[in-house]
Order: sequence, then C-alpha cells, then structure tokens
Amino acid sequence: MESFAALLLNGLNSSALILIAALGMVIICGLMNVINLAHGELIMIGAYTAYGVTQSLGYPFFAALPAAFAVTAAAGAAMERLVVKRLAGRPAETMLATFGVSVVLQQLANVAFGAQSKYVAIPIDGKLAFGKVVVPFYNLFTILFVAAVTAGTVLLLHRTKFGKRVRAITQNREMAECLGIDSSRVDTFTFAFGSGLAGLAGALAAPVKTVSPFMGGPYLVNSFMTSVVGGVASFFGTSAGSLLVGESTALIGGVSNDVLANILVLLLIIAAIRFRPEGLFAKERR
Amino acid sequence: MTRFAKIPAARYLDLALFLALGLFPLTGLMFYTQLLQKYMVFLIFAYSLDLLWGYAGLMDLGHAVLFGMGGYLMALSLSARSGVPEFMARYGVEQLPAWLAAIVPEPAAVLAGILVPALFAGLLGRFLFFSRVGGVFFSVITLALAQAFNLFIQSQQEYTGGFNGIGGLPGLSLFGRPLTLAQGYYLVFGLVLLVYAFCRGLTASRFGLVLRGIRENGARLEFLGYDQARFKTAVFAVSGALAGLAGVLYAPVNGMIAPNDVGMEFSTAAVVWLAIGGRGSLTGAALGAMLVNVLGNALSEQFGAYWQLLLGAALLAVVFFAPQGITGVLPRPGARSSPGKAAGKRA
Amino acid sequence: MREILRTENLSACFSGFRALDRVNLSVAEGELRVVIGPNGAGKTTLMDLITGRTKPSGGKVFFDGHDITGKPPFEIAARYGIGRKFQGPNLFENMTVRENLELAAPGGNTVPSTFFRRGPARLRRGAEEILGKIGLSEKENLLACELSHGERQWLEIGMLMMQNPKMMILDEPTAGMTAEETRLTGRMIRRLLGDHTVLVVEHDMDFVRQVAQTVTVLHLGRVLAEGPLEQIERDPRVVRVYLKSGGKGGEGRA
Repeated sequence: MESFAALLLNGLNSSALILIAALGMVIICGLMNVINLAHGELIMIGAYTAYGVTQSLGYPFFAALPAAFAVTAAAGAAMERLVVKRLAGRPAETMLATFGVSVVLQQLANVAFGAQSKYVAIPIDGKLAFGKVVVPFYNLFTILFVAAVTAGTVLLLHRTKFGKRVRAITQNREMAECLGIDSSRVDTFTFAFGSGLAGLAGALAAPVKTVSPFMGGPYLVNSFMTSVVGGVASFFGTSAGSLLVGESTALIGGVSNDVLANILVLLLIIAAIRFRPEGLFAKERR
Repeated sequence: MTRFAKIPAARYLDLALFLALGLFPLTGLMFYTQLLQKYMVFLIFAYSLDLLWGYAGLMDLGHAVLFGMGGYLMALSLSARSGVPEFMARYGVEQLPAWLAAIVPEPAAVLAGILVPALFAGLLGRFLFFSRVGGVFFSVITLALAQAFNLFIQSQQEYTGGFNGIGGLPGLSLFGRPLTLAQGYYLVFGLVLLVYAFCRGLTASRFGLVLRGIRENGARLEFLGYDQARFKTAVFAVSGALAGLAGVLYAPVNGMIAPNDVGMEFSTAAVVWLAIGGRGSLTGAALGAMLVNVLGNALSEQFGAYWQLLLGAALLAVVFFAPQGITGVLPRPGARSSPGKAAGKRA
Repeated sequence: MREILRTENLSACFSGFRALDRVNLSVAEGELRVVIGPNGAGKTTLMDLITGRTKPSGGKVFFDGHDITGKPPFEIAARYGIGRKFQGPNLFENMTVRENLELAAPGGNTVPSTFFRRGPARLRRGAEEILGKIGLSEKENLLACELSHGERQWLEIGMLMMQNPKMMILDEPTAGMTAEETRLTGRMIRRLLGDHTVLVVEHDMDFVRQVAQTVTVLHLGRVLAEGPLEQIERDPRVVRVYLKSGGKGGEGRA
C-alpha cells in the first residue's frame, strides 16, 4: 500500500486525465446540448493517432499531441456534419445515433488494428523523488499540460471572437443568427474543438494506459459523470468534479482494489446526483 | 373501420412468428431447432427490453447485466449440483459458500435468477428515477454498470470462472428429469408464449398507458398525479425479472456462459434488434431479434469479424432512414396515417 | 365563501433574480380568478410554485387547509387536487386524444392500481361527455400532434375536466387561438364555474372580460392591484404598466 501522499499525487494525475477527457464533453454537451455517446471513441482515435505517429511513423511524442488533436477534430467535424446536425432537436435519436457511431468506430478500429492492446512508449522517462514520495516525470507533464489546455480553453471561450460566437449561440441561437453568426459553421467548429480535446486526452493517456479498440467505454462514463457532478456548464465545476472523481478513485483504489474502487465511486456519484441533481458545484438550486 | 382494421397488423405478424416457431421442430432439422431454441430465449430478452425502452422510453444500454445475473446464478447452481465444481476447486474453494448452497436446488435457482435482477433493478431505480435528470443519465449509468459488472465477473474468478466462464452445463430439465431437445424446445416455446401474454396484458392495461405517457411526456404526468419515478422503478424491476428469466434459460440451453455472452456486445445487439424491428409494440422486438439473429447466423461465416461492424452500421442506417423500425411502416388501426408526425421525440 | 388557496409571502429567486416577491394571494372556493400582468411579471412562476414544479425560496402555500409548500407535483395533483393546463399546450403528442384523456382520469394513479385496470379500449362514460364539451367527439382516435392548435388547447382543457380537481389552473388557455376559438373557450371555462375553483393566467383582455370576476395584477413579481375587473381597468397604475390604451393587454396576444 502506497503512502497517502503518493496516492494523492496519483489521484492528481488521474484527475488531470479525467479533466481533459471531460472538457471535450462539457463543450459538446454543455455548450451545444448534444449527447455524444461516441465520446470514448474520440478519445480512442486520439490514442491510436499517438500510437501511429510514434510507433509506426517514429516521430517523437510531442508531434503526436497536435496530430491527435487534428485527426480527432476532423473526425468530430465529420461526425457533426453527417450525424449530429441532421438530428438536431431530437435528443433521443441523437443519443441512439451516436451510440451507433460508437459501435462502428470501435469495430473499425478492431478490424483495422486488431483487438490486442497497443503500446506507446512513455516520452519522458524517470521520476522525481520528494523524500519517500516518487512521482514520474510524465505524470507531472500530464498535470501541467492539462492545466495549460484548460486555461487555454477558458481563454478561447471568453476572450476570442470565436468564443463569443459560441457563447452567443448557446444563449440564444436565433438571436445570434439574426446578428449574422453562421451558427451551422460555428457548431461544426465547436464540436470539432471538443473532439480535438478528447483526442488530446487519448494521446496523453496512451503511454500510461493501453490502447485498444474498446478502451473508450470507461472514459465516456468518467467524462459524463464528471460533467454531471461538476454541473455541466461550468469549467470550475468540471475541474472540481474531475479532482473529486480522480482522487476518490485513487484513494479507494489504494486501500482496496481497482475494481471495487470503480464500483464504489460509481455508487457515490449516483448518490451525489440523486441528492443534488444540478451538480455539486452548481450555483443555483432548483 | 372494418373488423380486420381493428386488429393491428402487428398481431398477425406475432401469430405468424409463433406458428412458425411452434411448427419448426416438425421439420426434423435438429441443429436449427437447437439454434431456434436459443433464439427464443433471446426473444424473452427482447421483450424485456421493449417494455423498458420501447414502452417507457428508458434506453438501457447495458441490459445484458440483468440477463447475466440470471444466467450466472443458474450456471452456478447447475455446476454445484454435485458439490464444489472443478473450476472453483482449482482456486482452492473447498466448501460451497452459503449463498451458493442455497440456490443449488432448481426451484431456488430459478427464483434467484429472476428475483435478484428484479431487486437490483428496483433498488437502482429508486436512486435513478427522479425528475430533472434526463434519460441520458440513465443510459450512461447502465453503460457504467455494464462495464462494472463485466469487471466484477472477471475478477471473481474463483466463483465465476473468470474470463472463460462456466462450461459443461447440463441441458434443460424439469423436476429433475432431463428433457430431450424437442421437450426442451417446447418448454422454452411455452415460456415465450407466457411471457408474450404477460407483456401484452401489461401493456394493454392502464400501467402500459402510463408507461407510454412516461415515454411521451414524463414531466406532464406528474401534474396529472402520477409519481413517474415509481412507475419507472416498477417497469425496470419487471424488465429485470424477465431478463433474468431469459438468462436462467440461457445457461442450460447454451451449455455454458462466459462474460462475453453477457457483456456490451449482447447489450448492443438487443438495442439493434429493437431499433431495426421497431420499439413499443412487442412485435417489433420479436421481429428484430429473429431477423438479426437468423441473418447473423447465415452471414457470420462469410463476415466473421465484420458482423459487429455491420450491426453498428445497421443501427445508424435505421436511425436515419427508418427511426420507427420495421413496425413503423405498418398501418395503425382506425386512424389517419401521417408517418411524418410520429417522429421526433420518439426514439 | 371559504378560502381554498392562500399564499403567504411567496417568493422565488433564480440566480439572484427575484421572479416572485412576497406574493400574498387568497382565492375563495368556487371563484374564478384571473391573473394578468406583463411578460416576466411572474405569473407562470406563481403557478409553478403552487403546483410544485418549482420550490419557493420563501413563503408558504396553503390549499384546502393543508400546507403544500414544496411538495412534489404528483402529490399536489393527486392528493390535494390541483390540476394544471400549461401554457403550451403540453400534451402526449404521439398518443390519441382518447388516450390523453384517459391518462388524465382520476384514480388509478398508483402503480398497483394500474396493473388491473383496463387501458383506453373503451373510454369511460364521463370522458365521452367531455369529448363533446370540447368538440372533439369525432376525433378521439387522432394523435394529439395531428390536431390543430386550437384543438390541442381544448384537448388539454378536456384533460383538466377529466382530472376533475378541486382547483384548476389555466395558463394562457387562449394563446394562439382565433377570435372565434377564444370565444368558445370562454364559454367552456364559464361552464366550469361553481363546481371548481379556477385560476386563469391570461394576456388577452377580450377573453378576460368574457370570464373575469376578480382580477389580480402582477408586476415585477409583486401584486400590483387586485379587485373586480371594472376597478382594475380604471386603476391608473395598472393602465400605466399594462393596459396602455385600455384595449388588449400591454403585450397583445401571447
């Protein structure tokens, strides 16, 4: 059993991965109000891109990150135009359709790459030692990178023209269109951006978790739970939520085993939502 | 409105299906009879999902969990008939745990296989079904549960046989006497008819009306005095019981049970059956289940690994081009038909 | 006449916005009360609080002697007897007119009671009468989404009649209706008087004149004025805020 501090740091790392995975979902679900059940598969695409770039093409890992973003963003854009846009305003059918996309993507990966896990080498080797606590460099990198991406996303949404348009459409689509905003194009870009973030999450996770066609499931669940616990529309809430989910999984996992930890955290989240449906960190209670 | 138009076209399909199933063993094709026996078990599973998703609008993406609970309980009971089974002994289990000893007798196993998933669903329902949080929450939770269940089964290998599952199960037997294929087939067939009758009765009753109200506009129901959370919990429990029953039959009919049989693939398959066949009519569920499984058996030799891919693509195609499935194109009795209007919220 | 509904300092606050500010309302049994006011005055919020759709941030609601503050909607509907027609209308779109009415029928609201009752194969006798009153006798097998807008409003009113609650809340029952439909609706509602207490939220002053006895005017979440219609129409505060030239309501048709 590792020390408490080590568990906390591990949890921070998990939280970082959960956060960047959930960010994409918060953007797509919270801002666009689209339920994307293929979110896990977008993460998978990012992971496989990282694999392809580093292992097959031999490029360094740091090329894999932007590549993963680009490829997954493109996939997201395609998905938005072909599937999501056509079913706008029909949430139940969107859910079913994205579920279908998820199955198709999983099976395509299965056919193309086979079911065995692929491995991506850890780009930064070595660990940092604080007395008894040992932290791998890559974990530190992950945490910093995710913090940077989150900050960047918040800046994008609140300081840029694009971000203004996105927020305008979220508040009042018709009004925004009357003001000349091409909501259809912004939708595609927003969805692509959210997908790109998911791809980044996959690429970041690739060296530490395995890459396989069916890896997406747990990420979908975690991302969704985190966004709901944090209150879907808030970045602060999502960050806090992922911290909560990541740390509790790590701490419980440190005491018992991983399977039990997952189940317990799931039950805790269900209970939390039951008693505070608007999310633990939402400002408003209805 | 003629007499014949009063009977939904769908009922004729039901009749045709049951006739075909009932008469099939007379063809003497043993292999296919055995296959159909398994598909009839799937029919029960399909009906259970239709109650939950088709009628009440609750999209369960991990329905196989409830099926798997029934299946594994039955499998454990069957393999523990003569003491500690081999796969457990290998892990050093020397004595049957109390709960397992309790379900060794066949009636106990059947009861457990039906009640455990029903109780699980009921308990879960009390936590999940309250207004404000949308149906997507339910769907994602069922996904999460499917994953957790899979992990759980595989991790408890001393009791579940882990990844390989539990094999070598004896076939169907009634009151201790093993049944021939024909007898077993008609036992399952009889149960299918019973389940069908039960579901028809349930959906034709006021309960069924309320379920559809929940699907159409659950929030509005509250203002008419219905506690929709309770109704959702009730249908979830009933659906769980039926899924458990299907699982209980699956173990002896299939001869073995493994995590893959009751995992995401099976849950997804059921979703595809209902999407293709049509939801909320029972007929569509049966049609979809039969069609996809029969076709799958015929095509899987050629397609192999592509079959799952094909299913996913079929699901997408159906959502776009025929959101109501096959039964969606059947005429409704006694009303002006306007196929365009019925789309939208229904999914 | 005895009081059937009373709100005490009822308030609702959303993200710092005071939708309703210490509203005191008293409605007598059998009365027909009309609530008017500009958009955003808090009329629908008030109905939401009474029917349990939203929890108040302060104050209480008493109905028929019971404290129903913060109770869930299904309990308020089934146990205490308040029915609501939404600004909407709010129906079961893909179900038939008959089924919509059947769902509204009282009794058979608990799970056990629904297992053994038959579905809408044969409509109850009272329902046929109601179908007649709302003019949809010929259309009982049509889907709700296949009806015209006015018919859909009437269907929801019919559901309210089926529900037969002690108090009916009608939120803008004539929204989107033609003048003729509005007049018919007015007649329908007047027929409900005496047997039920009716609370109507409305914008259309012609309709209000057709049905009103006592009128409550809401403005910015507070009660601005209350009294008989003639008095309200002459009240300068009300005229300034809402009635302007004294014709239709300030906002016109909703």
